[in-house]
Amino acid sequence: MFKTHNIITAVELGTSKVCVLIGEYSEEGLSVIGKGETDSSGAVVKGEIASMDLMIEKLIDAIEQADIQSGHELNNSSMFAVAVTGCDMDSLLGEGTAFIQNEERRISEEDIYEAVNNAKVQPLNVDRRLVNSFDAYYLLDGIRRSSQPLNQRASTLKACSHIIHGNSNRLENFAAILSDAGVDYEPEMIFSPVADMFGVLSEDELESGTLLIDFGAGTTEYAVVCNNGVLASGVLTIGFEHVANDLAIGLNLPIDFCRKILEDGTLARLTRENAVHFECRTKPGAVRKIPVESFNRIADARIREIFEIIRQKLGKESFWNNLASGCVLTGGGAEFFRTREIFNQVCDLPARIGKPFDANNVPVGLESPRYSTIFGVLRYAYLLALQNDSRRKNSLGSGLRDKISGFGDAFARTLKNLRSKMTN
Amino acid sequence: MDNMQKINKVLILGLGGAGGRVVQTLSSLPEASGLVICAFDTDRSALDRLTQLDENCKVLCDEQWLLGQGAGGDTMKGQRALSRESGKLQSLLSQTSLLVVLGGLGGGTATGGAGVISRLARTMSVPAVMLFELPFAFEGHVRCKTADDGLHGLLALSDTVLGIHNDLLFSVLPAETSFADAFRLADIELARAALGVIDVLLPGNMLAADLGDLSGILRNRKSQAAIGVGIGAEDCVADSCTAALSNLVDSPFLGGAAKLKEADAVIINLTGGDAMTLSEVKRTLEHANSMPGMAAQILIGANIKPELGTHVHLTAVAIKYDDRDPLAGSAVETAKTSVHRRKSRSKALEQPVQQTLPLTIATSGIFEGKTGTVIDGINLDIPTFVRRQIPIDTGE
Repeated sequence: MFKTHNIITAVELGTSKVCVLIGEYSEEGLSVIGKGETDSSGAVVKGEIASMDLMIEKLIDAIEQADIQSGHELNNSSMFAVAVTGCDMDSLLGEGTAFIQNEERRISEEDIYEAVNNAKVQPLNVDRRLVNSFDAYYLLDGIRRSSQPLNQRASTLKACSHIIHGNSNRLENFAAILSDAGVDYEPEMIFSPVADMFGVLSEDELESGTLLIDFGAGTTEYAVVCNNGVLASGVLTIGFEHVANDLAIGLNLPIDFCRKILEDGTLARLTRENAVHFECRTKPGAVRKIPVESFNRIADARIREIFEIIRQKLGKESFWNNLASGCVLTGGGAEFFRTREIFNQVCDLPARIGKPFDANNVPVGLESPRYSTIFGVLRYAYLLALQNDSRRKNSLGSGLRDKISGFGDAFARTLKNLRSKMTN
Repeated sequence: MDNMQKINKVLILGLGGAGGRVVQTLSSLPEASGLVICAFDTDRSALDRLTQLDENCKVLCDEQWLLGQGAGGDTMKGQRALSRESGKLQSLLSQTSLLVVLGGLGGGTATGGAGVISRLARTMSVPAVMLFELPFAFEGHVRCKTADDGLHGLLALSDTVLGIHNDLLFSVLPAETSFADAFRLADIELARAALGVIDVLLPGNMLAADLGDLSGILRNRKSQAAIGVGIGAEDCVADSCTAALSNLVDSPFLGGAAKLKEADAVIINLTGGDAMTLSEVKRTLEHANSMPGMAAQILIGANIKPELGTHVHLTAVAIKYDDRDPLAGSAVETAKTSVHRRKSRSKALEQPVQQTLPLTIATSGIFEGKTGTVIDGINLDIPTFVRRQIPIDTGE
């Protein structure tokens, strides 16, 4: 019985692949015990489910794979988490105020709750649904900006929260498909770039300000992470599939062929070898010589545009000065050999390619930017589950502090954010 | 005898900053010996930088008013400056049988001055060919507009105007090419192109393609030209022809073999040394001939220059009419007049006039029929290179 609480499951329904991870956690940490993966083959377009029937087939397939690998632990899962994207995701900055009423005007945990909860009560349209929220920062007495208001003196505390919301019907699809596949729980939803943040960012990067870009197959998501919270985030429904599609249109080639040469490194090899032409046999007997330069020009134009759009979107909100740790590029598209260079040219920021990491053990078979999101979802579920457990065992405040001390300070705020989610 | 000498005098005139640079490059090419080369500019410092040119060949226009500071992108200033130098121009032109004007449109001196030179050449009945670089798209809308207007104005004044898009350079040069190299290459290519055109037009060709042919193709029609020059320099003559052909296709201003395919008219000229045999000429020209599309008008020229030795020069000028531009206007005009003249109305009805929009492939491929990604009214599912009109060589 005790064991049932220690299994968690993460699901990602991506444009290129459907992936299921089963994890087991204990006092020491998290380990991956089962992984299932199938190609989406058209079931997801631009991050959203296009065909429910095809999707359910793929999902059941992936779940079974993971279940077998984990030794049939899936049904013992205490929590399911699923990454969501597309869905017209948007974000806003919510503000909530609490008046500090005790005599000392000392800010207590309860005051912070109140402010955070108020911040989350935002007038969303009826067709919108809140997905995640993060405390961005606090204002003491309306002027002084702080990220750690606890025990400070002030008469009012204003919490500014980054609220991510999406179209509720479209989000409902993600929950529906899981319940169709036989998952009885209401899954926890997490916006993909937020999951990436848990999956690939180091503590330092979480703290000091990082632009996270997940260049996926169907969509490109971005998030500005600072002080363990998200300052801004968004999704662009253009992804690496567009690069393949552009090549297919521009050079009159089959799309599968374009995907193949992008993914298996043929193009990277030819460019490295300074080859002038790429020779392909489209018809028997006839050899077609396509300049390598043409491939690169088409791909460059598209990738450059994606970064330009992100830059423009973020530029409006002037986050560029807060990015002390530069940028982390992740997602399948980050593996393409030109991506980082183009990013450097467009945004003039240092960038690294983010891969799933774990302080204890790097999970086997997940050492690729492709798995950032799914691993992030699992870590998110893990942190959430820890929180659940501690709440179950202890009273809220003291239990929380115990857990925090076990983790190190960097996760303190993250946990607090999670806590605020649960009080929701 | 006097007449013969006059015929062989070719004047190459570099106009403005870009023109001067090209002319300087040209003067350093060995093939340019025997050509009269001079540079006209309103900017003293730009002229001073042309260190390889003889001082006598450099003319600073309208020093009195512009003080050698350049026309500053003002075409009116350029026009006035060149008009003031018409005396010098006249004396130069009087000893010339063919005038080639080189320059870059979009600035003041070349854009404004070209018309003056062209008019002068016409009154003195000196055949003139104008070769102009059109600005890179990134140089901004205003510059491109100025260049476009300038080209438009020139069409009325000159029969042979060729505009070459600098953007074509991007389509062939690898992205790693340094900026300086790209410009140097552009200058060399334009210089070679000028020599190629001269080769085509010089009297004494064995297979004739003369100025009449060229102006017949270009007259009153706005067109874009892509010029490719292939030089074959192998020891064996058979190889040099093949090398020239492949060099021609790789030539940066030509924009790849695709450009030849879609051209409306192509001028091909082959110049070789004494060693060139009939079969070589036949094979090379047949090969070059097969590159343009079926509907294209093709002019062929071949020439022997003993001093070339085993070298072979193959020049192709691919001309594409700009049909969006109604300058030719004849079709539109018939439609207008038909309203007044009842008799011709039935005729006009037989040939309905419809303005065609430029055909661009605007498909979104696998995303066709899916929820579009539209930002600021632009459908981002359509490939970026299509929307930004980046030329792509498909290798087909």
